[in-house]
Amino acid sequence: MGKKLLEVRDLKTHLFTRRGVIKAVDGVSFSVDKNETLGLVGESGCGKTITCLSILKLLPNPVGQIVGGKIIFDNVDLLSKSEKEMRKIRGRRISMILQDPMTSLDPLFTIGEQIAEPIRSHQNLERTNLRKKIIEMLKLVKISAPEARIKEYPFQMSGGMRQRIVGAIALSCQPDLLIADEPTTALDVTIQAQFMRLLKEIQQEFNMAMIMITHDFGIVAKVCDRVAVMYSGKIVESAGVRDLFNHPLHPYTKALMGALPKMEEDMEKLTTIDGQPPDLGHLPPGCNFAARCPEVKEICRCDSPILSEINDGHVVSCLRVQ
Amino acid sequence: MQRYILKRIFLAFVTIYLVTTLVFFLARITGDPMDLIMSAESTQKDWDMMRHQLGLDKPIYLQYTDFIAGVFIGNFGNSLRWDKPCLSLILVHLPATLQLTICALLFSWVFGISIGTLSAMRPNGLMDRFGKIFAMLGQSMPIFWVGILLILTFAVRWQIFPTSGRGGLLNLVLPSITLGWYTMASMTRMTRSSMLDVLDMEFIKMTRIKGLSEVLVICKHAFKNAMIPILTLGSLQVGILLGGSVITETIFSWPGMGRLMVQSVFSRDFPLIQACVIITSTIFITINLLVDITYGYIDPRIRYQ
Amino acid sequence: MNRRLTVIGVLLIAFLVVPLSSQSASIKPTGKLTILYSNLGNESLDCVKWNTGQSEAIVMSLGEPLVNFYWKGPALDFKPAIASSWKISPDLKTWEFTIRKGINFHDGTPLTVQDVVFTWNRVLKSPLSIAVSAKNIIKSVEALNDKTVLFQLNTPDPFFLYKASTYAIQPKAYTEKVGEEEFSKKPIYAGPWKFVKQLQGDFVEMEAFEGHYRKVPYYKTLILKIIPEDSTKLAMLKTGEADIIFNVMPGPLVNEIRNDSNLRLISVPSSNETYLFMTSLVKPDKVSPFRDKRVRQALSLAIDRKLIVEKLYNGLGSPSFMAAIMPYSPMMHPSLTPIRYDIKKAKTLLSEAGYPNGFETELFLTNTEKAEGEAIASMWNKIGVKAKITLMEMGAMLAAVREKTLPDGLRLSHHSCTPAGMWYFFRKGGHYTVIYDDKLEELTNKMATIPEGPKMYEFIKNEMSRYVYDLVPSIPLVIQQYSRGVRKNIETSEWEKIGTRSIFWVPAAEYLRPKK
Ligand SMILES: Nc1ncnc2c1ncn2[C@@H]1O[C@H](COP(=O)(O)OP(=O)(O)OP(=O)(O)O)[C@@H](O)[C@H]1O
Ligand SMILES: [Mg+2]
Repeated sequence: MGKKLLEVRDLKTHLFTRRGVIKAVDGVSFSVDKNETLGLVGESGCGKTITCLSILKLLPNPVGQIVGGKIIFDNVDLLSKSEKEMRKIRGRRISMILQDPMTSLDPLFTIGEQIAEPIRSHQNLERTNLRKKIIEMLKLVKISAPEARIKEYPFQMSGGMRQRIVGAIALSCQPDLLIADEPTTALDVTIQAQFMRLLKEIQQEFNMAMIMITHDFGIVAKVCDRVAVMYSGKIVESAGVRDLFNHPLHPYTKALMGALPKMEEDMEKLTTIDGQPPDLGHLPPGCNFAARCPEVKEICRCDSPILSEINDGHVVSCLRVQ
Repeated sequence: MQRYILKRIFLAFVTIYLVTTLVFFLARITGDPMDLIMSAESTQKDWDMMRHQLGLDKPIYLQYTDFIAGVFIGNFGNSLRWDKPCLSLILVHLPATLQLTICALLFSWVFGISIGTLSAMRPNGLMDRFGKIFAMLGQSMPIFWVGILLILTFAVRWQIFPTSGRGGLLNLVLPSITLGWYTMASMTRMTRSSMLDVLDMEFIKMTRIKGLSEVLVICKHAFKNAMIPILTLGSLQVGILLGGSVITETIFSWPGMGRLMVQSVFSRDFPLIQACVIITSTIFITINLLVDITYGYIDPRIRYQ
Repeated sequence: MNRRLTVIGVLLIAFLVVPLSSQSASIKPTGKLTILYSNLGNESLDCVKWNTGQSEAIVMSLGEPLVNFYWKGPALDFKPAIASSWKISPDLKTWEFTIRKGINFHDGTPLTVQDVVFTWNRVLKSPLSIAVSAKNIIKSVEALNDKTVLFQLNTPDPFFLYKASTYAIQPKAYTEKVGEEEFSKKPIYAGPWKFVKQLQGDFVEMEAFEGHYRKVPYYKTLILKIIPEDSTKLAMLKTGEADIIFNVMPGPLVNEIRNDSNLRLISVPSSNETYLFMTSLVKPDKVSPFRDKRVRQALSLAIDRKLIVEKLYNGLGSPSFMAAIMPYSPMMHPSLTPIRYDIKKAKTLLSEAGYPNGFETELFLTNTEKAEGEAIASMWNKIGVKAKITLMEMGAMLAAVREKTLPDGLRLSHHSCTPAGMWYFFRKGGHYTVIYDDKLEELTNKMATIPEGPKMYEFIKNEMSRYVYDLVPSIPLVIQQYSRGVRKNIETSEWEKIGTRSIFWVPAAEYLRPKK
């Protein structure tokens, strides 16, 4: 594997809401190498999106605040950067595709304009070149008749097309890192696959690193090099894809993989993890997963596990395993 | 878009016609103007003569058709009270009202929209708190009281502005603030909530992810999306102010439509009541039409309907 | 035509006429005078189309009538104006006015008898309410020669001078040239002020007429401005944007002006009385408790007028004694005293009349009269008379009063304490009749055979005032006092001396001057 592009160290992002402090990200560490795809997996609400937004420093204002840790991107700590400097990084070096393609586009502007915006603010292109570039991007994401589409509005497009347009916007400045936040959950299955393939192709072409957020192990298996499993604001396990699939160590990972729907199986047999994830505002002492863990021990309820390397590149945070 | 506009224009005409008819009959509910014109000593002959002069001796349907025919050629008849053509009376009072309305709206929109936007950008921040208090004051203090207060402080005590009347730019300041403050309050709230809704949307996050500057994010994307409810409220406010804020016009002795209308109602001046209502509602309806068309320009979903 | 007029009218000219153009040679009009009104009626610039006293302020500043009258203290004071003198026939049906020589209209053309005849013939054709009382009694108006105009009346009228003072004379030639419509936009008259411009509902601007025969104004510009709101009026007066609030109504404004060292409150006497009339007595045969004199006396005795003056009029007024006769005037008998507030006596009178426990009645008011009505109703409560307050809209009220359709009860109203007022109120069958009383009518008719003046006043004093006092044809309340808020930099001594011109509203601004 190549050089480290992004390293997140002990990131703590808290949400200071009216109901109290939510520790949405509570000491997360991971890294992404150049060209590599990292899968970030976990149940809904475990803090995946907040983690990624922390990297871009685009947290919900004024609720979200990064209270600790380091985000080292290309050897520089992003947390020391000013808003102005961050703006130069967003869109150009790190980009992101948001969860919902239906609402990610401004309904009042043409898609041409929306693709043009990041290019205009990061690169100096004159009108004709700008137009060429937009069309090029549309072609890249496989939109047919791009010249005509430029003038169209989001409401005139299907969901899949919109997600590809969002892709075009995110990729328009050839970023070094693309964060894709569950880019396909809102799409139907065939289109999901198409879009994933497309992303993979473009990644290859651009030499780009990706963080792929998902709770779908199927996708992980197809597109990721490494996986980090997140549970209630913490990384509980991280390993290479193969390693993880073959030897999942953390009970939560195992449970997640058990919950994976298999197309050929009867949908009713789908296993789920019993219980609810803990309230991030009021975390119990000990392991966060203890309450739901099928292999729980007495010690799990009072001691917090720490992340430790078991094999080469396979880390896990479970008292039972250690 | 063309069909959309044509449809709106047609509806506007229908509305104006309905208003015209309605006001004709409503005005007549206020009572017989002759009661106020004639004296106890007037003879039957005087009554008949006056009725005839005013055209009140004809059957009501003839009065109505005459009236509609007149409206078409811009003839609203003579005011009973002032004995002058209604249109000319309105034409001398309308500019005053337009001037005040425009200034008050400018004041209320500029402040309302900027305070509302700034509040939405930092909910519960300093500006939001200040804006809330400012808006609350504007909406809860009676216009009457605000007016008097401003006069006493700025005109009587410090003598910076004239107390009342129409004249130079200085004359406009106090009445515009009095009138604008009230409308500003609702404008601030509308902008704030509309902006908050929009700022919460995914596409705003997306514009930030693109690395756009905050100015572009707020002014270009957020504002345009928040615009439609703001415009709707704005056009309603135009209507309210055009009808003339009688109170403001009275306190500041502003020779506008509001006072003219109230006086015409009190003196049962049918032709003038009718003319005032028709003219102001026509302006109001026209502005609504323009706003409807503007919606189309702002929102492609409306345009391509 | 009756050429054999017996002259009994006194020629008043000798010492009353102000010397012609007394000061015009020495003083040039300068500066601006702004007078505030709550409203100016219909703001008509046409001398025969004004409708209320307020609108008279405009036409009577611009124009000059045959006769000016001033209310001074407790009586009227008629002064020759365009008519330099007048004669009255003994039957009071023929009035002859001699037109003054050398009066010019604002455009410089001389005023002639033809202009007088022209104006008055327009009055006779007008259906408007204000013309009614004059035109209903005038048979004809014509020029006798180039300096005399003859008014022939249908009925004897001892008060014709008052009517002669209500219309300013307009130029025939100019009016005919431009038409009535145009005239009402750019009028020309012969008054002390020339018309400059007007904005309906807002203001009228005038300019001193330096060729005026009676009085050239001291101020160059006169602005009559409509400010309906009291606080605004006060603010304008305080800042000097206005010089005079013409009519300070009882209320908070009074003390505000009293307490400001730059302002003065000048109170002027008026002939206006607030009174209550009994709605059933205006018709001859309606049964009503008020038919009994003792009931009327009782209700009158049960009103604490001092309290009303103090609380509701801010002290700007005085208790009234009797219907339509001015207290302490030459018309009042010296033996008469103010009505005592006496509940005991009122109760006794009510018992004698057969109402020991009082009775129920109604008080008809418009919105602005509510406070006064409520005060009176609560006072009557003490003698058992329960007056229910019924509020009515102005137009409906006017119609009901005109058609005499109000149910049994009382109506608050205002009238003028002058012999002309008596003539309207005390005769049967008139539009303003308050009572049907044979003796009162007989006395009134007798009074009306004497032309208005000292002799008539003498008659009222000796023959009528005690009878009216005892009869209580209407319940007297308050003689109003009018007040003006004036800035201290205005010299008002001349203005105060001359009295209140005309009914009340005419500003007579030509007598105001800047203080040096
Ligand atoms: N604007 C906000 N205000 C308050 N709490 C928030 C806000 N955004 C997120 N949270 C909370 O923070 C926690 C983490 O949220 P986050 O969106 O990162 O979850 P996620 O892992 O992305 O879930 P999903 O799979 O549903 O997208 C959740 O408990 C969520 O309720
Ligand atoms: Mg998420």
